[in-house]
Amino acid sequence: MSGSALRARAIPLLLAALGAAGWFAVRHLDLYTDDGPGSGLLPKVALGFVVMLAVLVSLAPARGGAVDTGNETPRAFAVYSVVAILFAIAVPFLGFVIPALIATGVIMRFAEDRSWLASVAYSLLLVATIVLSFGTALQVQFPAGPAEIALKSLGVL
Amino acid sequence: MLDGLLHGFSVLMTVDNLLLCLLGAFLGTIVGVLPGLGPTTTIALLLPISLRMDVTGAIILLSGIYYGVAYGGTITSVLMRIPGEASSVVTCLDGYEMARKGRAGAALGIAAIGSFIAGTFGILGITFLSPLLAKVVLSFGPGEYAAMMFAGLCLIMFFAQSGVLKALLMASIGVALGTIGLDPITNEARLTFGLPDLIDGVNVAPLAIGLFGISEILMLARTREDASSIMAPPSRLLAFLPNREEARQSVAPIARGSVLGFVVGLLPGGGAVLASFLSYAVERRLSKHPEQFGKGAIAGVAGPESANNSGTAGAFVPLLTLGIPSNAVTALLLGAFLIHGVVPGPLIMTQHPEVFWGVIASMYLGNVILVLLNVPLIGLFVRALDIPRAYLATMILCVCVIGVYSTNLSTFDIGLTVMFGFAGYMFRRADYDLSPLILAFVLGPTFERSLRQLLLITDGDLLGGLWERPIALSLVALGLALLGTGIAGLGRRYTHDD
Repeated sequence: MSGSALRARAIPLLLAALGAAGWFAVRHLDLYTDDGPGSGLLPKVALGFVVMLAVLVSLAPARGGAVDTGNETPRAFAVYSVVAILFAIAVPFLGFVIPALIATGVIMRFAEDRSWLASVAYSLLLVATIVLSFGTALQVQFPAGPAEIALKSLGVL
Repeated sequence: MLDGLLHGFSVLMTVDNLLLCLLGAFLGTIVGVLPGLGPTTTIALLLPISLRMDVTGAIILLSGIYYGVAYGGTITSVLMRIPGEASSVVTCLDGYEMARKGRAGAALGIAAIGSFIAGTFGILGITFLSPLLAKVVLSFGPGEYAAMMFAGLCLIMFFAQSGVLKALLMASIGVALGTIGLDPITNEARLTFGLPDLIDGVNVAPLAIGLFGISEILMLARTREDASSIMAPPSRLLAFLPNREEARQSVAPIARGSVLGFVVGLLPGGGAVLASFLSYAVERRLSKHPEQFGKGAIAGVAGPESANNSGTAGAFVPLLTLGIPSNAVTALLLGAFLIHGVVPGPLIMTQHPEVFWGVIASMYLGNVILVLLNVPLIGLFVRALDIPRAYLATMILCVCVIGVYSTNLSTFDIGLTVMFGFAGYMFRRADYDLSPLILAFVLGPTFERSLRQLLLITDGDLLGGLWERPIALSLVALGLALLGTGIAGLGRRYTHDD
């Protein structure tokens, strides 16, 4: 089975499973009460549709979808994916600046094959630009972290 | 009406709003030039940042991006045969052929002129049609509202590129996601899985930024970068002018494209993309030389380019007067209104006239700015294509993170965004259209409120309630007919294939 055909089956089946899990989570909510429609009406109907339609899509002949062209860059994709996940995990503990510096540097070095010097220089430049434009100019609030505390004491954020 | 428009221009004539209008048009053109980075992604990214602005300025900026995209997309279609944006796909066919024959300037020029005329026509349409439509909608009750949203969603699913079944699935997911959080009437927690961060529901920003922004990064990361070959744009301004014959051949397609595009733009599921394709089909059918289409027919550029601009303008009418978005971009614009506490609908003209008329006034100015920007600065915009993926993707990633956080000051939302990003990537890879999902998500809560009100009024007798409301009944019948037609067509296709 090709990658696109596998996706055509796996994605709706995953959605059906998630839909069923969602339905299980709202099973205790009323569809209808003496006072009128209950809080479970729309979630139950919508999730029921998700399960039913997902099963139908998985049974229908596979069509459409991206075909693997051989022009893919799996390493770059893997680096970007891992970095995005770790970035999201790190922000509550380290704020924005430190994870952003590391994430940009890692992507530049390992996904885009830039030199260490170029990776470090670009990540510093990008994060500095974002801090100055969003934090200093637009007064956007940044998630708290050690670097943000230092920048705040300098009046940058 | 004239008073309102004058009020709008007075709102627009502040330094901030004028700069935001210029910035929106400029960013829109750049986004239109860059293949892949569409208006939905850009507006999703800028949605949280717009929180720092007042509501009129924010909508002026975001709208400018939306209507600027149609201009920018033309440039790469003509010079590279790569549509910067979906609404410029058909322009590749004849625009690029014209460029190969040495008429790139004329193709770009007629596209800019047609876009300006059609854009102005569309804005005039908004100016005159919106107040009339708003008066009609004021008499609507919950039944009509629920039915209107149902019909709108059905239309969107009918037009979805991925097919009705997948579109229905996406819309159902969107509705389900919209129910997360406390029930507005009973205060019961729904689908929160015990997570306090989900009590207030899912915000539109993490969903939109994840589905469109993060998934875009992953799509960019997946494919090797190709060096693109670009035809040189004309260096002299006069070279953008079409010759007498080309101008004569373009008059009728521009006029037809303007009207057709506006009407299609009014429909949920319509908008610029459908308008341009329909216009191309109409021009080809009406042409005395249909064999020239695809080989450099100027009508194949003039019609669709006009239609996509008036289609963009037309899509603002249901958004502003009914509060119903007709595509993913207007769904995000609706999100922007709601984040700022402004509810688009028939009352917007009386409750927030400065927003309504200010945005319309900005469209008149934006349309002029776009023509002035586009013709002389084509060379500059084309250079945006030289930005390497490494710079673009890392910048989008950082902006996504800071943008999502700033909406709700919640780090949980960042995790949610990444999760939606992977989901969006999977959906895009498997050819699922994301528009029904985001539209259903935005419309879901209003649909639920209207439906529950209707059920309360009719004591649970939905059919009886609809029977007493002919407008609502007609809309539901229309929606069901569209769904039925779509599903029947699907069945026939599979049967024939098998």
